[in-house]
Amino acid sequence: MAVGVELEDLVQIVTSVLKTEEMPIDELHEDTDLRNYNLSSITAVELIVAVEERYDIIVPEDDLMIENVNTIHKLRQLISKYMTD
Amino acid sequence: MSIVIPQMTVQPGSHCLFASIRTMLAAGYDVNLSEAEIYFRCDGMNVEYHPTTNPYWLGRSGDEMLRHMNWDGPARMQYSFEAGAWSDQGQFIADIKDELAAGRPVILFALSGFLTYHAIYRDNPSRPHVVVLYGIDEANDTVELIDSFLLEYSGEAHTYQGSASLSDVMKGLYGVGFLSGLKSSFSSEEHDFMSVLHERINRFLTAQSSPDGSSRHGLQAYYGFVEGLEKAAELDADSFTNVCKEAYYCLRIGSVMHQWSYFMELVQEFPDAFRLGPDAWLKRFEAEHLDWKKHLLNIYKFGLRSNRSGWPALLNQTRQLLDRQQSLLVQFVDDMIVQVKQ
Repeated sequence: MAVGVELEDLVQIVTSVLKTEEMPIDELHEDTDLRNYNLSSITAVELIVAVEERYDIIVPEDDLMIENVNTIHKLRQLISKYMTD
Repeated sequence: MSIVIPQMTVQPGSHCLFASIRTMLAAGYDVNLSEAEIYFRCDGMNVEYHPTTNPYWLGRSGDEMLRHMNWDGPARMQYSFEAGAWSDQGQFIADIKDELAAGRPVILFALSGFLTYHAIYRDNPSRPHVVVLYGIDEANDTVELIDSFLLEYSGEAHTYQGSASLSDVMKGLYGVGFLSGLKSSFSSEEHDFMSVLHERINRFLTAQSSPDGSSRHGLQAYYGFVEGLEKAAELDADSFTNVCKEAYYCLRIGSVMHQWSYFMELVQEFPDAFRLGPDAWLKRFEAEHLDWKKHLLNIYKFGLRSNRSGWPALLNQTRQLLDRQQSLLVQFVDDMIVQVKQ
């Protein structure tokens, strides 16, 4: 796990961006597919912007696709990639 | 008295206009053209840019596309974008009923905010849209519609078939189109369509500004659009964000992304028409489609972050993609096997 990337933080960011009432926050785990909870190509970019601002990173164009952030696990990997680079 | 064309079924589409024309032709005349062929016959790729009147918009007017479809399509089209065409609602409805009684659906151009049958339209900014009307019931103030490309703000596309409020639709109406008979001169031969395609692509590559400089067309419209977008860096943060969202939308709908999608569809539909074969072209078009998709998401991201300092560098990337688009389409035209009319 990347230093400083806590599950609670990511869950809070995801729920804040996706704004879905159906999302079972307690049941949200690393591999829950967020596309079932309002994640689309556009909200994926909104999610990336939220983590960019939270972790002071820049995610380049090549990594903006929804497939890179459709689970908490992938989101964490993406953050780690640019926090350590 | 209500009147409905029976056995109409919605088919998912990639673009509201071309999907609607496909539905009209199939239902009214049993003519089955792909959306891609309709797109090229409508000259959908030759988008327009108006630097003075609409500096942050790029697209193709419905009027122009129907004009081309009327000229190069299998059926004669009657259409109007003048409010006078439906200001006499009684006469307008009588005309629609005549069409429906003959088994021919009608296409309506309406602002999506007045298409109140779906929350996506009720809850989001109103935009020009096209649907097929195949039934009407004045007494109950309803119409029966097919909506083949109902685009959610998130980017997901859906379909709708069913009732809508006649009054609401009339309030949002800005254009109407009828098919008024098949053309005896129309050729469905592949080489004739390739001739149309060849002309469309060449015009896309060579079209310049209008003589008075008020508009640019084809590939030059894209370059002009990018030039116009440069000025957005001088806007305040909120305005810049909105321009980026609009730029994303313009490039996503009815312009470059549809262009790549329809080229992909085209090479699969006419696999023997290109020397390199469909797979090689499909691979190239898929690669362009993917790179543009990522780039548009980046434009959207720049807007969300109000990243105006990095904007010129991003637009240089856009220009590089356009340069590549030009090069690829030149190769594509040269690769056509079917003899074309010069």
